[in-house]
Amino acid sequence: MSSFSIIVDALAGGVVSHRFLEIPISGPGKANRLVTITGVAVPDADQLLGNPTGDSKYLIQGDIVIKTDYRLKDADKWEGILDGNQTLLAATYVSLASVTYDDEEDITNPLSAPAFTAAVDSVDTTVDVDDGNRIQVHLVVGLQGDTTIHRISYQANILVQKAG
Amino acid sequence: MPTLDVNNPNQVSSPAALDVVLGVPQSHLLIFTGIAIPEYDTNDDLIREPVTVNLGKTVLNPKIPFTYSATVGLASIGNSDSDFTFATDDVSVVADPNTGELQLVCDLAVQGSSQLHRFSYQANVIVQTTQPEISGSIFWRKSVATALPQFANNLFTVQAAILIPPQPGTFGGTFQKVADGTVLYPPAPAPSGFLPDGLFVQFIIENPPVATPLYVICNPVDGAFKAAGSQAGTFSCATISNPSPITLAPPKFQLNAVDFILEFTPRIR
Repeated sequence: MSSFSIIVDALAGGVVSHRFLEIPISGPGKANRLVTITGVAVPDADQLLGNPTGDSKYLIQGDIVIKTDYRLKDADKWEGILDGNQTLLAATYVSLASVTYDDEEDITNPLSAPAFTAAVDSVDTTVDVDDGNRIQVHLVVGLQGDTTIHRISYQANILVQKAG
Repeated sequence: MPTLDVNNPNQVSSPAALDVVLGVPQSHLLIFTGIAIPEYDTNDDLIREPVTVNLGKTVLNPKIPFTYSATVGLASIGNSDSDFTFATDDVSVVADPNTGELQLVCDLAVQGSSQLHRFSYQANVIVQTTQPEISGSIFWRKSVATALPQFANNLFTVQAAILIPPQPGTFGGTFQKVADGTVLYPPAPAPSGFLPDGLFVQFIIENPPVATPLYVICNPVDGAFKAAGSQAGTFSCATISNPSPITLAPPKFQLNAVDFILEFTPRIR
């Protein structure tokens, strides 16, 4: 169960060093561009976000959505370009980039935990058709202890059929 | 050494692969990403260990060198109130020599009361989709030699060989066969512009070793040809314009037009 949800938008300052590269290719299928989209997202996901009671000893999971700076045009195709694909052809790398943990036990808080976990558990990349066909990266992350995932590095690799 | 597999969701989360056709024919860029789940646990001591991720894709010939770039990063870590080290120290991509399956090998290091649950990876591999191959033609003039009917499908032998260097203080060296060729029958008329009274057969040597100097050796089968005028003598195959030795290396794993011509040397009385 997701305890929190954070949206970071590359076009609103939520991602540093965001870049993309369109590389001409000859396939597979009708794909004619390999697009690599990179950046360092700054979700500042804190364990307390999903845990307002302050009980940090339990591992919680939450969602982070990175709205990237890459947008497909209306004439571009990403469906039906290889064996009738209905999902975006994508392979995405994500990694912890900046993590902090405060190990000072709060003597006023009997629930504080002297342990931490910072986790990126899964990733999937999709086209947000409701936001002008922007490419977005969805992560499931985990947090335990007085822990914050400040930044997450990503590289999304997608195949598309560009018009023209 | 722990081995994880992309087909097991308990071992690799969010595995993905793209097979991209590049502009160069027969060259593919394979992109592999995922979050490997080694669930590496330690108590206090610094421990280093390589972890292998089977990427679920095989190359046709694991002996063919391939190029790659790869990166790994921490994805899920935990610690129970101690000093700690979490590290992804090294990464490489190899092909299993037996199965050809591509594998990512990552050296992990963990110290303290720590758990390295997951690490992320991306591997970019450029592979060739063609098999190594040497092919060519063997010509002969009808005015020089006639193939005997009983040898109609057995006129020549072709093989690829390596040269074993001579012992110190001796000359020469010996050839050692590394791959047999297949000769394709029946013979066909040679292009009139090249050999007006000629015939030829084609040959192919499949999967010869790569990155190795090779010598293509072509010989007529004993007794397969009769010299014009029933002269006594010996037949041999001479190269026409072949490089020798031949070394197949990226990006060229196929060499065509390695051609020979049958020659006759009359016996001296």
